[in-house]
Amino acid sequence: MNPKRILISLAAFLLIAGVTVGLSLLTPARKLASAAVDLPRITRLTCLQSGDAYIFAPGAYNASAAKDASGNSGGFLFTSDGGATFASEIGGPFTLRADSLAVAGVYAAGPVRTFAPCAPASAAGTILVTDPGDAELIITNSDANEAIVDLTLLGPDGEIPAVGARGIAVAPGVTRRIALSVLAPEGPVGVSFSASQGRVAMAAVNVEGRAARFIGTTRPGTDLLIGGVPPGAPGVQVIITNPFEERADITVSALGATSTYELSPTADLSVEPMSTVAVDLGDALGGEASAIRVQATQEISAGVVVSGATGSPATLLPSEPAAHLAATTQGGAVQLSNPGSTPIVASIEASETAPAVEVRINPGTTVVHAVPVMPTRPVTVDADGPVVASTATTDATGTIIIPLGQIVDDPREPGSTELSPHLR
Amino acid sequence: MSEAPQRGVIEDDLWSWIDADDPVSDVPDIDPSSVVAVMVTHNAAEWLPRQLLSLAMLTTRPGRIVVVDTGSTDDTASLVQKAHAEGVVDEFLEATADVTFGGAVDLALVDAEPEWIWLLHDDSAPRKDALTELLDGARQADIVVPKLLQPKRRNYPETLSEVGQAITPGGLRVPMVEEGDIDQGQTEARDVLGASTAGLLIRGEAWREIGGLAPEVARHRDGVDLCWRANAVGFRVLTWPAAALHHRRAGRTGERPQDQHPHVDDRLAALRVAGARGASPLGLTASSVMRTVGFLLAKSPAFAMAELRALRRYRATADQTAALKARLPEEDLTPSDLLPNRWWPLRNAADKLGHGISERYRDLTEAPSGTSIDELTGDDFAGAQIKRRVFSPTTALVAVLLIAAFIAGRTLLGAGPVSGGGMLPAPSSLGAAWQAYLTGEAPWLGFAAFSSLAGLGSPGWFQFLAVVMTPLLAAVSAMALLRRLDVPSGLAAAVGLVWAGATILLGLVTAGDISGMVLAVTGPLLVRAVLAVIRNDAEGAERLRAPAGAGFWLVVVSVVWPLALVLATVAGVVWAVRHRQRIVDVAVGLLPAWLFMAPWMPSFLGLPGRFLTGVDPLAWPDFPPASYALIVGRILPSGLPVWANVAFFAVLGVAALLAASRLPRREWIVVMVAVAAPLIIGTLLSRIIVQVDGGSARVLLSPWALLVVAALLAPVVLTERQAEKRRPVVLALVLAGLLALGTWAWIGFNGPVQSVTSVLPGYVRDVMSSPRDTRTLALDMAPDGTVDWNVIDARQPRWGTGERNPAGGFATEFNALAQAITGGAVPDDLAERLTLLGVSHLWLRGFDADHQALLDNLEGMIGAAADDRSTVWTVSGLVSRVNVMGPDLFPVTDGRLPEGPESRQLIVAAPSEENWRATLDGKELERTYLFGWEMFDEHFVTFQADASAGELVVEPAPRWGRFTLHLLVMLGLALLAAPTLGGATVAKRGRE
Repeated sequence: MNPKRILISLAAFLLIAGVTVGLSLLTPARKLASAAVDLPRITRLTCLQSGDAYIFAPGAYNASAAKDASGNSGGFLFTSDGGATFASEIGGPFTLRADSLAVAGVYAAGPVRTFAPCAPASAAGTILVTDPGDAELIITNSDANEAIVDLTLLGPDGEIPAVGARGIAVAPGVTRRIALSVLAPEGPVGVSFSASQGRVAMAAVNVEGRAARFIGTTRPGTDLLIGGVPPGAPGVQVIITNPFEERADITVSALGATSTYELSPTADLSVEPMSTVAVDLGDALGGEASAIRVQATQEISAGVVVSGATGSPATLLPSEPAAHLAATTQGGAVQLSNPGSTPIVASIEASETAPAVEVRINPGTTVVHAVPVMPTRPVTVDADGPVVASTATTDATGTIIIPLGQIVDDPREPGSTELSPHLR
Repeated sequence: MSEAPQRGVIEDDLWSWIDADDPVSDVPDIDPSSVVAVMVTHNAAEWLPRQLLSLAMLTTRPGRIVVVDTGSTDDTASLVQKAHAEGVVDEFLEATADVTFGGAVDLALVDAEPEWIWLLHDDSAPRKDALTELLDGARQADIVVPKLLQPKRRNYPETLSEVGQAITPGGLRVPMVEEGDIDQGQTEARDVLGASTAGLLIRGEAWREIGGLAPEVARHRDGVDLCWRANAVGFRVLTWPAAALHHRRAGRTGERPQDQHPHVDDRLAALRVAGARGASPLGLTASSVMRTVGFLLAKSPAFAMAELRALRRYRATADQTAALKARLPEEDLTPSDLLPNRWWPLRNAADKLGHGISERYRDLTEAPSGTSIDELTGDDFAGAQIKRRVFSPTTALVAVLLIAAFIAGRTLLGAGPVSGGGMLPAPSSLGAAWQAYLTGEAPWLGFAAFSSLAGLGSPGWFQFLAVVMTPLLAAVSAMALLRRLDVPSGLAAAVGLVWAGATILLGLVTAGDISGMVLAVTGPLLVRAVLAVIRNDAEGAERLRAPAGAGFWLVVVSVVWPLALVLATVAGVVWAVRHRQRIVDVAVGLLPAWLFMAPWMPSFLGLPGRFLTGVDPLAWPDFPPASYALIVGRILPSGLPVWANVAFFAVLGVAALLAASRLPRREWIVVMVAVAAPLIIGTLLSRIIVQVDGGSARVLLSPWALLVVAALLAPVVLTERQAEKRRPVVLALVLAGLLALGTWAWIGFNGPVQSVTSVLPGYVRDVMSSPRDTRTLALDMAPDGTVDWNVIDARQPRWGTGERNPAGGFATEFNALAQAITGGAVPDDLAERLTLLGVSHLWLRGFDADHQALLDNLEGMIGAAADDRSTVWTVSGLVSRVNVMGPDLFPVTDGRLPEGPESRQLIVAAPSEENWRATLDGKELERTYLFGWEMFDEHFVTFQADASAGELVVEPAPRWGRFTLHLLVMLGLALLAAPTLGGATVAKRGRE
């Protein structure tokens, strides 16, 4: 055997292998994702309160009333080809059906005014109530099938046994009211519900005779962002429910005007299993417009209760940051919070005649942009990154905070829905 | 003549002869002078001298030798006259050319009544003792049949030509011995139905009683007819192998000049003998037509013409058949055991088939030893001796691969049909497999359907067998190639083992790479066939066999990897340009594949990327291609450990390196290029995506990987082939191959190919396979939130559905619905949409309660839990694939169309570009176009129906035109590749 020939052959083999390995390190082309499709997007929101409907949807939408107590259809209320709509004095509850994403709420004027965001029906959720003694639950089944709901009441000292909280049947189109004061007279309380059949829209409102108040439904998570704490709010409370069997360690921080900072009143906060706590933030926010971020070691539900000088407290709920937001509002202070790590430039348009205003939101901060107050003022925000936004308006009857909602679908994550030829 | 005929084989009890009395002990010897030998000559000058010499050398001469020449135009007469003058022949007579053999014998005997008549042909040279032995046999028989040997060749053993014969009812010749077998004295005396007249010794009394040879049977089969008539009246016809003649068969083989094809007379005589004994004209005609087709398939139009000519002449001479029949006795005493079994033709065909297979196996397992001094110098049959080993390397290889396949296959048993990776589920039945081919796009579906016969008609079993047996078949085909290259069987088995190991570790079987599996098996066979073309030195029709064989394998390879056709065409054209005389070979090799692929080619023009992919390119999940692991053959997720690949390919690489270093410079360069080119091309191709019909797919890498493996093995074969003893490198390769097999056997099928059953409940599948022919939309959400979806019906998924968008028709609509359901934005009119798309069920698994509630609340959707994780929603109303558009839309649910208004439209839930057909009570309905529902962008398949009711069949239309083309191409290749008649008559000893 000739060593020289072996060495030459070895060199040739190594050369071939080297070229191959080098080529193999090229990034392979990705298979094309599924063809882009026009989703038959349908949004169905249930609005539980009576009052003036504030709606914003890019697509066509219509509203129809829920059935009455005898089961008769409530009938058609109004329709639109899209855009911002204000409809006065609509009797609730009613259902909004849009061919696009939609943001809606009901404004109830009066001695104490309130704003009740509309929400989709769901099979599970949590309602966070600070004063259950004054509250009742509204349960509406806007679907065609019967729903059966189980309630779990989680108080400061754990689960509150409640007779009649299980197996609450709600017929199609029917709204039921359940006095929360009977089930849990002391607060704070988190009301978790789950539908063993069907789904419902649920909220807590103050009973008649008390100042009007509306608390919507939230869902659990480990990182919740609650925007819309207005500047100069005299009282801010964080209310947290832990619906699970393990203790949850909580970190609460605020996205203030200049930075994100942890709040001292909630330092070393932990929530016992199956219980609810409310923490008064006092002056920790320093009167700044803020968004509150609640992070937990396990899934919890959280909300922020903002009390004004007048009127009823408003309960703010977590929302998903998005780049394109809108709502039909009454103007006032538009607040934008950037939960990300890079600066975001957002364009705020609050009038068809006035030009859009661009604002820069540094990471972890909240900015406020004032727009003129009007009975109906559509506000749209187009940002180059995800933000949460809301408007706050204050008058003698109280403060209302109208959250802006997502109006454009996020780009679909490639590969999340893929054809699988072997599924059979 | 003995008193009582003694028929049958002498005794069944082999030892009975000890006690048996000699049956002829009291029969006196026959005086040779009582024998009159009659030899008939005709244009035999070429071989007559040898014949006359044989007569002169007889140790026992007959009483008289009479020669009758029937109008010879060559030197025959003068040769005979010379022999007459020398005393070899006692009497010489001349007759005209139209005198038959029987007529010539009659002329020779005239008024003589000899005690014994010995018939001789001018090409049947008797051995010296032939008459002595015949007379010995004549003591116990009335007609004695000698053993006819093939012409003797120097240094070759004597081979048998005939020792008596029979005839089937259809006129086929039934030999009593295998023609071409070496004569080892293995034949014994036995009663027989008939024989050639060459060398027959006939008792004069019997000759006169049955009237001699029948003039109606002129030249051939006259001996059979004579003997059969003798048997019929109770005379005994006995073979006597101790007496032998060398029979040249100059008439049948065409050596004797004559005006017409020799088969005409032979077949005419056969038909007449059969017809006179009751064979129906219709049956004989059918038999002749089938034989004509057979001759055509054997590429012998002359024989086919002769067959038809004989048939025509037979049908035109019914009077002669009747005259022959009149010669038969009223009572036929022919023992039934002398007549061939009615199934003899089938049994004979099966015997030949089995013999062919065993011959091929023997070719694989046995190797001739080196040339010996005996072979070079011997004058008898001391030729190359065959090494017959009980435990050959091939046997060991087959046994090891079978055991590994059996053990690895255990992991596929149990759950359900085998599928996964690039392998879609097999059709449910053989009929469904053919339907997939007839209605599908790709021609490989035809091969798949045909191959399903290997699974006893079950495509599912075939698929199972394919994945477990591919390594074995690949090894055997590699060995077949190497044996063609004269590689010793031990080395061939070692290389075959490595080739099988490569098919395993490349992931071809465990990842379901159908193309790779087919290429691993047929690639070596294609190369083998191409080698046969290159070495082909045959002439005439026989010359076309090799290119036709290559053409067939090229068709098989091309349908699974179309790029092979392009590469082969380029190579073939270059070769033909450099070797002009090979143009026909190249054309025969290439054109069938292009013809076969022609109907498929238009789709390649728009999407040439399909050339680079394998079968069902869209069946593959998006396996991210490996990076540096490609160098160790990780082209697919095989489910086998990486270390096995590393070890296997390291050994293979080192072996190739050491072997290549021993090669001469030119071979060294060729090997390096052969390794580098496919490796680099394959690596580059692994980085790209190509567009195919219905989506995008990755390039098929297995052909390039197999080429690399072949190139690595080539230097080992080249250097070890001539080695006197095996080097350690071969042992290392064997160990590497065993490592691959052992890993596969231990782990089994741990990759994409699995045994899986349908996720759908039985009632859903029942609806889909019912006349409603509905679809099911299935969505499966994984814990990470990704959703797999598919559209399932009675025809998908299965073989071929990966050749277009696997979702089938309305893929865009289904994609939108799947995404809408996943995103929780389900349209309110989902049930209506599903109904119009022919979807009767929606199946979801892994979705949360909100999604379920969303669907529960839709109008027309009725949910029911299928198991603890999945739910099925049934679309209310009877959904059907076919709806009738009248005043109202109603579904056709039972395959029956009720009466209705005139001019109604059938709407099929299929996009209008698909090819469907509809029949009402067997009558085809007119296809109409441009109908579409408002909510969809696509047009639907529609048919026009009248008011009448009837059985309605709506199905994808089969492509009979393409099927006919494929059939013709395959028949053409079979015709060209089949042995020619000339080739089949080559003496077997020539091959020994």
